[in-house]
Formats: sequence, structure tokens, C-alpha cells
Amino acid sequence: MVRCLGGDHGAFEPLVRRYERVLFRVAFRLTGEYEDARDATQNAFVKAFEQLHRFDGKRRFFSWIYRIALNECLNLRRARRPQESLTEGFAAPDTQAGPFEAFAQTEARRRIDRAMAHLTFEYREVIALRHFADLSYEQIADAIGVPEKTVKSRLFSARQRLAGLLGVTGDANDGTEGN
Amino acid sequence: MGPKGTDQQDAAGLDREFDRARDEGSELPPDFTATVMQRVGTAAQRFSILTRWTRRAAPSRYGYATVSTGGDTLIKKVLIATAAAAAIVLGIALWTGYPPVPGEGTEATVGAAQRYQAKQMTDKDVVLGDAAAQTFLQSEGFDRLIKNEKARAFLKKASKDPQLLSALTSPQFVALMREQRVTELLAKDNLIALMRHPELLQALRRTDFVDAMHSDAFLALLTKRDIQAALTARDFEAAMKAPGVAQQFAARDLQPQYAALLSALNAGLAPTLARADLMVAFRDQALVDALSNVQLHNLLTDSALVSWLSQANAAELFADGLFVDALRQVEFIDALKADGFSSALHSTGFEAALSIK
Repeated sequence: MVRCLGGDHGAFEPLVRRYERVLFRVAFRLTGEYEDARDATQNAFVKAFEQLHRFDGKRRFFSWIYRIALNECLNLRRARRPQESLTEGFAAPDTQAGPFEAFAQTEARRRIDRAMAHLTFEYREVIALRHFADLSYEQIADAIGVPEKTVKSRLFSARQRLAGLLGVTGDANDGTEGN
Repeated sequence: MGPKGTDQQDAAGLDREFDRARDEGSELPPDFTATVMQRVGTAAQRFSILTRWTRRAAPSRYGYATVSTGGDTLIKKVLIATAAAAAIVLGIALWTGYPPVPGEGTEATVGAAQRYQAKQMTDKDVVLGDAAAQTFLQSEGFDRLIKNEKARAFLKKASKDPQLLSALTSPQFVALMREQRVTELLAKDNLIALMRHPELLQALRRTDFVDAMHSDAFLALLTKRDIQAALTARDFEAAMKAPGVAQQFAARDLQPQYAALLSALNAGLAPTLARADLMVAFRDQALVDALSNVQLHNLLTDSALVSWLSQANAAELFADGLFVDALRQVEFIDALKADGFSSALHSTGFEAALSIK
């Protein structure tokens, strides 16, 4: 980061490689659109680079860049027609899985997408961060700027609602214990 | 919520759904990183000098260990000098309307205009170690400068204009920056509005202004309270914005005249001096000589006389050759000095006599 601020912009690449996947996953779940997620994540990295001198090193870098990515997602979402939001599937890129496995995954993803489309944005956010970005409660709390306790209760409600929508015998307990 | 065993089974059902969907459709495009880095490279090229400077300063602000990438010292020197000099230029330009003062002794006499040959700044002229840079970065003045949108815009402009940058980074400006009386003046904000005047900025590129503004005579002038009051007065500010005024101030052949006039200036006369028609009258060398006369100079500190000179018809009078000739005569000067002259000048009898004539 220091090298990057000192003028070596190539030093930013390790940061991109480290956080691109997790940010993209979350953006994808928040926007529901592959292209939007890609654009939001790329924009977030470029903005983070431009504003790197404002980043307080005492904070977590992910929390900071996540807020930037979240704003990008929201901006893209606002620019899109509401009826296109998180409802239908998309042209996903090819996967390495076999045809049957790929079909099952696609179906699962569509079921999740459809169900998540009925959640509030706050619920979608905690679900995405917990289950698609694998963040701990503490990390989520830091990223979205609420107490850890709130994260837990929000995630509980989100899971409960999602379970009902998916038709699974829905208890809302997080599948993992603790963080 | 059911019994714990059931809870765990239910939770596992939901988590299985997540596991199946986790990676599906969310693979990154193969060129993702390269695209980001390409955009980052483009963004980096667009950074202004000010932004680069701010970025370089960030690690120490946040307590990171710094890594020198070379060239830091030079850019730091240039930027600090530029920022400080720009602040000075802004302040002085806005307060004074560019009064050019050629050098010492201008309070009483005016000699031929000396063309100033600006020297390029060298490392010896500006010695700012890390501690000095740190102090400056943390100073209230720097904070005020950076928070001021117009000042930031000016700095950006200066960084892209080699001529302006050269003028601002001259050793004279750097020396001026260290003058407490000048920095005190910078604390006043009401004249920032004058920055909007593009002609003033153009005048800043002139090296002779640089020379004039760093002179002892000019600095001495700035310390006069009445001068400061006059220069910050609303009407003076308004007058400075008038079309043509800045152009007049920038006219090369008027500079020595202004040196004399400003050294004799007091608060009441400032608005009058800023009038464009009066500027034209000052092109008269004889008038300038007269105004440079020590006796007349003393007269100009008389409030009653200045009050009279500040009236609307003063410019007309200055433009009159007869008055200029009269000023050259000792008798006339003596008459001006006589007790009661200024009050007689305002009397109805005097006016009546003039009418009869």
C-alpha cells in the first residue's frame, strides 16, 4: 500500500488479486447481474486506488473497499429498471463441472436468486457476506457498520425468511457455530 | 424454532442450498485483473502533482512505514514551495491588486524601472527537510489551503503552467512565505473572491511582479494598518473587479508610478486609485514626479486632503495638465500645506470664485 501511494501503481495488483473474488461474489449476489457485478467490482477497485490516500490503515481494507463496492452496486441498481432486479437468470459463463452437476448448480443458483430477490437489501447483504463471501460476524459488522449483535439477529431473520422462500424446513440458525 | 437437533438439520438444509449455489455463475472474467490494472494505470497518469504529493504524504499521516521511491525530496520541495508561494500570491494579489514596488527608497523618489531577471530556484534556495515538510503539512495554513476549493483549483492550474510555476517557485516567493506579516494577511478570506478575476492570474506570470512584491518597500507597506484596511474594504474590492483595472495595474510602464503612489497611500485614497480613468492619468510622468515629492507625499497623509482627492472629480483633476504643472511648483505645494487650505477648498466662497473664473 505504501509503495502504491509512493507512485508504484503496480503494487496495487496483489490487493486486487486478494479481494477480487470475494468482492465480485458479493456484488454478484447484490446486483443479480453478471455484468453489473463485474463493473461494480472493477469500479470499486479503481476508486479505491484513486482514494487510497484517504484509507485509514487502522481499519480493515476489506471493510473499506466493500463500502465502495456496495455504493457501486447501489448506483448500478438505481440505474437499472426495477423489474430487472434480481429476478431472472443470466448467461453464466461455462463452468468446469459436468453437465448434470452444472445443471444442478444452475438450478440451485436460480432458486437462491429468486428467493433472495424477495429479501430486503439488508437481508441480502448479510446473506451474501456470510454465505458467499465467508466473512465472520465481526468482519460483517465492520464492513456494514453495525454491531456484531445486529449482524447476528439480522442474519437470523434473513435465513429464516430465505428458508421459508426456498421451502426447506426452515430454521434460521447459521449453519456454522460462532465465527 | 424447534429442538436443537432439528434446528441443526434445518440449518444444514439451507446451507446445502448455499453450497450448491456458491460458485455457480460467479466466476470472474479471465481478464478481470488485467482490466482493473489497466484502468488503475490510466487513473495514475491523471493524478495531478498535488494528488501525488498528498498520496506520498498519506503513509506518514496514518503511521505506515514509508518507502522511498526516489524523487520524493524534489517533488516535496517543488510542491511545498508551490503551495506556499501560491498561497502568498493569492493573498498578496487579492489584497493589493498587484502594486509593483521596484525597490528601496521608493517612498520618496522614483527611478527608472528595473527589469527583474528571475533566477531559477535551486536546491540551496529551498531547504526543506522531512521535519519542515511534516510541519508544513500539519500546519493550519496548509489545512486551510487544502480545504479551500479555489486555492486547490489554483494549485492545480499552477502545476500545469510552467510559466506560472516558475514564478511561484522563485526564491523570492519562498522568502516571502516566511514573512510573518504576510502570513498574517493570508488569514483574511474576504478577498478570495478576487481570484475570479482572470486578468489578475495572468499578471501573476510576470517576473517583475515577483520582484516588486518581495521588496522591502512593499513589505513595509503591507504593515500599515490603514493600508490593510483600505485594501480589504468592500469598495476597493469592487473597484478591483472593474473591467480594465487589472490590466492597468499590469501595464509595465505604470509600475514605478504605483510604487510611489502606494507608498504615499492611505486608506481613503485606495478606492480612488483603483479607478481605471485615474490609472490613465498616472501615465503622466510629471504627475508621478510630483507625487513622489516628499512634501506632497506628506500631504497625502492628511485626511482632509485625501478625502477631497477621493471624490469623484479627483480623477478629472489629475487628468488636467494644469494641475500637474501646479504640483511641480513649490508655491503651490506650500499653499497646499497652509493651515486651513483644505477647509478653504471646501468653502462655498472658493467654489464661487472658481465659478466666476
